[in-house]
Formats: sequence, C-alpha cells, structure tokens
Amino acid sequence: MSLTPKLESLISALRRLPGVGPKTAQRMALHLLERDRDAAIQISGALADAAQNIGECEQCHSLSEQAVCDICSNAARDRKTLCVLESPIDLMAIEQTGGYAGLYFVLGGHLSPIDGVGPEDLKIDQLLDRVYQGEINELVLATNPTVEGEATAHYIAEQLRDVDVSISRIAHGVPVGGELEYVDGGTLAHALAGRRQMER
Amino acid sequence: MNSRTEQVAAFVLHSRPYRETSALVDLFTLEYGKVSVVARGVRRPGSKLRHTLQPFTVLAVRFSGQSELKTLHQAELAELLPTLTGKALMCGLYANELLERLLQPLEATPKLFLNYKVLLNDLLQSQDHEVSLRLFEQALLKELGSWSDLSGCHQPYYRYDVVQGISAVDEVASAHFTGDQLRSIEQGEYTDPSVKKAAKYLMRELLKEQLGDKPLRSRELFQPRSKERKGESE
Repeated sequence: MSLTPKLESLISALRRLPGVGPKTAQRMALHLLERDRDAAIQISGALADAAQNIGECEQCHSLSEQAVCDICSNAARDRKTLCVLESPIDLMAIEQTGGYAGLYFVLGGHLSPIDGVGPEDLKIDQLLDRVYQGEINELVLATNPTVEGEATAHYIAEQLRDVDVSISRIAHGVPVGGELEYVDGGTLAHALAGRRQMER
Repeated sequence: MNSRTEQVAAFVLHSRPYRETSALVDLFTLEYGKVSVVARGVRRPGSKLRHTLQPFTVLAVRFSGQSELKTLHQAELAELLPTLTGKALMCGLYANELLERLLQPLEATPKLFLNYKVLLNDLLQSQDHEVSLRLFEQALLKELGSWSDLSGCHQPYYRYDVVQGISAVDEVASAHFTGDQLRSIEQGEYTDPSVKKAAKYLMRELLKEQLGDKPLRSRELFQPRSKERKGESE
C-alpha cells in the first residue's frame, strides 16, 4: 500500500519521539487511524495544549503552567534551602521521595566542553543572581555524580567562593539494601572516602 | 582489526548518548590511539558498564569492527584511580578536550598515552597543575609534529608568530620570550615563574594553530563569571 501524504507526515512526526523508529511510528499511526480515532483526537488536543501552555517557572526554571510554579509559590516550604539540579526529571525524582522540603533550581543540563556546553548555555547566571539576592542560606548541589555533573558543581561552588552561603554536595555511596559485593569499584571507593562518623 | 581484538588499555575521553540505551564512547587506547566505539545497552538501568565507562580511570577493553566506529564488547577497571575533583577535574576535562579535538582516529600514540597517565597522576598528587598541563601540552605538540626543538635558542630575545614560527629578534620591545626561557621550556624546568608565563603563551599560540577557528570550550571553566554582573544584580 502506498502511503497518503498526510499519513506519511504523521509517521515522520511520530518518529521524532525518542525510541520510535520507522516501524513503530507506522504501527502507531495505523493503530490510531484504524482502531482508535478518539485517542488520536485526544492526543493531538493534549499535545497542542501542553506545547502552548506549559512554560518555565521564572524562579526554578522547571516546567510550569504559571509564571511561578506550585513548589516555588508554596509558603510552607523552606525558602532558605535551594537544591540545584540538571533537569526537571531529577526534580520529579526528588519530589517523589518526599524527603526534601526546600526549593529547587533547574540548570537545564551540565557543563560539557567537548559537547560545546559552557556556563553561558546553562542557567548559571540566573542561579548566581538568585544567591546574590541573599535569601538562600544553603545551596545543595545535586547535579549527577558523573564527571560533567561534578565539574558543574565545582564550577558553581567556585563562583560563590566569596559569598556567604553554605554549599553542600549530595553524597555518593552504596545504595540502600545493596550488597557491597555487587557495588562497582568507583562507587565503593567514593563510599569509603566519604564515610561518616557513627553516632554512639 | 576485523576479528575481536585482545584486551587493550584505554581511557574514556568522552561519551554521548546514542539511541535509547546505548552510548557512543571515544576511547584513548594504548595500542590504537583514539577509537570510537558503540557501547550497547550501557544506559539501561542496572548496566554495570555505565559505572565503568567513566573518564580518568584506566580500563581494559575489548572491541571489534571493520569500520571506523567499533563495537565495544567488554570494559573492566584495570586500575582504580582516586577520582579527580575540583580544579584537577577541570584540568582533566581540558586535557580530554585537547585529545578529542587533535588526535586522528586509529593512530597509535603510545608515548602520549603514558604522558596522559602521568598528567592524571600529577593532577591527583600535586597542587601546581599549571606545570603538569604545560608538560602534557608539549608532549601533545611533539606527537602532532608541531614542536620544534628549543635547546638551540641561544639568542637573547625571541618572538612567535604564525608565519615565521619562533624567530630571534633584536629589540626587547617586540620579543615574547628570552632565549633562557625557551631553553628552560624545552628542558621542562619551571622553577622560574617567568618561564611558566612564557610557556603558557607559547603553548596557547601553538595549540591555537592546531585547533583552528573553534576555541577550546573547557577554557571557559577556568574563567569566573564577570563581576559586573554581580554589581548589576545588587
């Protein structure tokens, strides 16, 4: 069967999704058209709505439908602690734990010179401005424990060398419920280097 | 190299995500120089390779393939080096960017591999990273064939420009270096602070010629965000 132009453009649009190749895109398109037109209309509506109406919170730069997101405008949260993250996905992961009550700041990536990502390409200036305003007491640098995440954390800390703010880095170590036998050498070395005094 | 190669020593220079769960990894190997490999499934949760394929540690890897892009089969930690942190990490990223940009794929540079290992060791152990970086840059320029022997520089003053390279000059005003400084650089003698400054200038100019118009991005990591910005916000 030769494809109609509209079907072809639908398939190529679907292929832009991560993990969707030509076969999957074709199957998705045919499924929506042949078996589930209601879903097709629902998806197209939701997509258009999301693409037009979801923006960025002007304080934390995470995804938000309002100018300031629910977390940033929540008066019950600790407004003196700011957790710095690479992406909104990390924010969702930390929010799901329910163990953190402070505010967030999303950088939009990590420093990676070889990929051409420098300080200008992240929200580092906005973060520094936020700290200079003086409301933040503690900055928790929760960028990923990769070389690039580590470099990003170091770069931020270096810029705030003369600023009166406490700066911490999330711990790296053995996962809860894990067995030392199965932990990789790098993590184990980190866990040993960052060991803690036991309280007695 | 069409059949599966034996284990070779390698460092990860850089890795970038590829498809859903894989990564394209640039390795700096002892036997084959810079090699790009596909690491399949490395970004799946629970993949052991993900932890192993980190920069700045010596790995033992196996890969195969006929084209320039190889397939990675195995990677193990050969030697657990302490992690680079802080300024040393920034210097390591700078060295990686240099290698990534300047090495030709699949051209063995065993001497430079050792120089790189020495650099990482120095970054871990010493506080003065500047000298370690200069020595590494010199080794890299030698490998690329763009280093001329400076031990015969017995004139008092020299300057560098792209057309003439390093040449003797009569007046101090147009000089970039003294002959003494150039000979010290050749010997790797950095006790005199003025030699450090001269070496920094010389390496930067020589590397600039190799790198072309595209500047190194990792240099930005050493530059503070401008203070005027801070003034503005206050």
